[in-house]
Amino acid sequence: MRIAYNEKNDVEYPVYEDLNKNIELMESLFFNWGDIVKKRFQLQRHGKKLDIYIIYIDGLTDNEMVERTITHPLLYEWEQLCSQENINEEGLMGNALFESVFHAQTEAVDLTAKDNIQDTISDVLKGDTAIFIDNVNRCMVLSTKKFPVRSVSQPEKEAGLKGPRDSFNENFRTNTALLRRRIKDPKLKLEQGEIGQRSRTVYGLMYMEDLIYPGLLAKIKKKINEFSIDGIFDCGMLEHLLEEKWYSPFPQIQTTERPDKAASALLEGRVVLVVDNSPEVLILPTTFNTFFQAADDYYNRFAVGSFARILRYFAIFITILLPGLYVAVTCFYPQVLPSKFLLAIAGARSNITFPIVVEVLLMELLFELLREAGIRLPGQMGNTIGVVGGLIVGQAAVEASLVSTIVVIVVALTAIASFAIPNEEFGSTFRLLKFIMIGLGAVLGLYGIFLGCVALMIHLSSLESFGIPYMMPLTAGTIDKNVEFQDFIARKPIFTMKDRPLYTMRGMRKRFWSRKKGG
Amino acid sequence: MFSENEKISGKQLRRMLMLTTFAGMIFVVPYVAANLFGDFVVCGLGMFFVCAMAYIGIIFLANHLTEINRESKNEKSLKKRKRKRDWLTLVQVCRQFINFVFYVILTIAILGEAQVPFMEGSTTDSYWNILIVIPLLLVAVYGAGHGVEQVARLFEIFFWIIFIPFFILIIFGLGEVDYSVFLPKCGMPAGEVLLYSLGMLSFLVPVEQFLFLSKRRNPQGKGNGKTYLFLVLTVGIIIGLSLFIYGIYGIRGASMEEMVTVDIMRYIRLPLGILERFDIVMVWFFMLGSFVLLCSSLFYVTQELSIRDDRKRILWMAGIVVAGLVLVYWLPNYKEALWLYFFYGAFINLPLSILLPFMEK
Repeated sequence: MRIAYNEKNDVEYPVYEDLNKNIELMESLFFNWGDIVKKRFQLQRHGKKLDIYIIYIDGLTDNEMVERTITHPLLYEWEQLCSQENINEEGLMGNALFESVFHAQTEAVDLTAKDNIQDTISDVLKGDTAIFIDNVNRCMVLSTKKFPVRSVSQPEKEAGLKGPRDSFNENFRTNTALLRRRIKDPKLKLEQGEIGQRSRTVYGLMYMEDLIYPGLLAKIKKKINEFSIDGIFDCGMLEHLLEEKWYSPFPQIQTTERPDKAASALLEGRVVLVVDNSPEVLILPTTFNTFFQAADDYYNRFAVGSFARILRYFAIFITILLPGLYVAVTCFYPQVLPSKFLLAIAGARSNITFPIVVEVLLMELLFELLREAGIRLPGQMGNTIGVVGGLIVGQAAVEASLVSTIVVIVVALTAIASFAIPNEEFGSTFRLLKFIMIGLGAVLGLYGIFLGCVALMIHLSSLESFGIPYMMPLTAGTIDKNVEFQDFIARKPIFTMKDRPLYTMRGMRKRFWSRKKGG
Repeated sequence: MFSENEKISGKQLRRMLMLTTFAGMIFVVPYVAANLFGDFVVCGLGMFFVCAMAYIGIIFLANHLTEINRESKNEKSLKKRKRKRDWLTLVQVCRQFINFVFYVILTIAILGEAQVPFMEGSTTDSYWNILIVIPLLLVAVYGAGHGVEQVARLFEIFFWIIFIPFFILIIFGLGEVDYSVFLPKCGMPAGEVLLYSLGMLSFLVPVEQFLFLSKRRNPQGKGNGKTYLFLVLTVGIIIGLSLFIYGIYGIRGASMEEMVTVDIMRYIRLPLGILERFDIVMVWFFMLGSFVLLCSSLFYVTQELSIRDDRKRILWMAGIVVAGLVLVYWLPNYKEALWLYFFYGAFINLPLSILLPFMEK
């Protein structure tokens, strides 16, 4: 049988009453599928015969569950499945069986009825089992998903000293459950959908019904429906499709692998987008400041958390400016530096043949290569590469008079600072911009770096994440004096952060109440 | 939500105005005032402050009257006025263009002080200097090419950055100040003091942008009193800083140095011997001031022309930049250009800034 697909890559067939037609359709759809499991049964009740067809995908489905809840009881246990009067009429026997199983007999709870083939195959592809009954123009879909998943493990990219140790994994349902476990409120909604014409990736929009701006949710849904793609394999792909300024090096949507961080975002009136097969979730909207917030900032004492936050901001300046400034100052404005330090630089550079800018670029590129190699290599080898790169190559480069010791210090400091940023994607942006600053500093000195900084500021000011200015709370005027700077460069004590941030709908911002008198 | 309404908040409006006013005055007022008033600079600046209060008041009054008038206009009268409006727009564009040209010359002077590589002093008739200023103009075009919301956000960020060097100036320069300069000396004819003070108002003309920004304010017309106070405060800060500069540099010294505001930083030492020459780093902040002036003048030109299409807006700005640079090349150097701008401001720009809003009515 030749299957006709529409432009959305969907099939538009109904579930037929004639079981043979349905079987033919399913066999054609799953032709050459080595892992498909299908079987035609014949039930005998009160002397009458009824055909049933079951289909599921091996490896995605819990076979035992199918046997325990459907096939075994159907064949051997449910003797009184159809009443005598229904069976008298040939056509009604199937319907009676369907209704009886669907509403009464089976112990399975997640059982749905489908009247079209597209929905049926969509569920079968997710690991469900479809049961077709002769003379019934519907089929039953039993939720029997069971596929190999990674267990909940510790966060790798956003590790912290304090706080929960679990992280999202590739299983959509595990991820939603991790969030449900943290927010036990019926107002936490989950709107599910599918994206990708061929991958049929399940995604879920999670939000607090009473805290979110309705306009924000509508905007996100509209944006998701604006495009069509064949496959989505990670939330990173969806992130790039949802961003308003694709050319910006800055992420306009936050990603996290920490359920506590995502849950906290939900309570701020933001939306968490969970994507199947992705060990991270997307948080939107987002601002520049949120990338500096680590989960353990809130679990530590406020002074410690604030200090760490200030350090991260400082780290950003070091990452982006230090190598460029070193090049600019040493090349064009040595008179700025204290004379002893200047002599030290001159001494360290006495045997170096390359110009300063080449020296810095060489070391920076070497560092980036080592970082990239360290990521690609398996754990233990990756660590070795770091040690080898840091100690041996750096030492050898100095001894070979390729680079000066001061440049090694500058590059090392820049590297350390770039890893102090809790979000890897965000940190990478600054590592990239660092090279532009080095180039500008080498050509135009401090003026060049100034130009780079101003252009960067203009770009950041023009960015928005789903209607929220990216540089908030630095920009966007006075919106709410209580919440603007409570969680910015410094974090206030939790009991003073009485209001939710500006993402939350007006009138719903109160989040802390003191039970003391007058509190 | 928060944005996409092409409106700005009262705080953003104040910051935009304060920033352009501050940047437009801080480089020129100390030098010009020292030259005009000489030893009587304290009294002169006092009179200037009074005149500034009156001038800002007139601009606010004009805004108030045009707001009332805007509400009572009908479609027929709007059509009748279209031609007149076109002429007024042309005049406004020309005024902004002249401002832009002066700000380019000012920028070249600042870049000359900053010892930017390849710069040949502060002269405007050097190809290199013109070439060096082009990257900054391109960045200014990039900034001015955005909508009012984005530009307001940008200026909001730059607001404190621009003020930082002056706080540093005050903190680390306190020990260097000769406070005797602050004692007012009288002896200059009152008419002359008043005349010079009125002339100096030409540097306060950026305040007229209030007429444009108040229309984009959300909610309109609220907090005008606060804005007035903040603008007056800005003029006060400029006067205070000018006096501070005289305290360190001396009035005569200040009258000799065209870029006295930048040069003063050479006298300031950072504690603990962190940097040998502090002024080169501080020039960053001054360059930011000149960027604000360039960006705002380009922004207002395109806003005056009501260009909605981004590509057209960029083309217009590119045209203005090219024409401006050609003019800069033929115009005299900073010192002469400054006095030329002063007289143009006093006799043409300032009266126009008062008359045009009423003519628009």
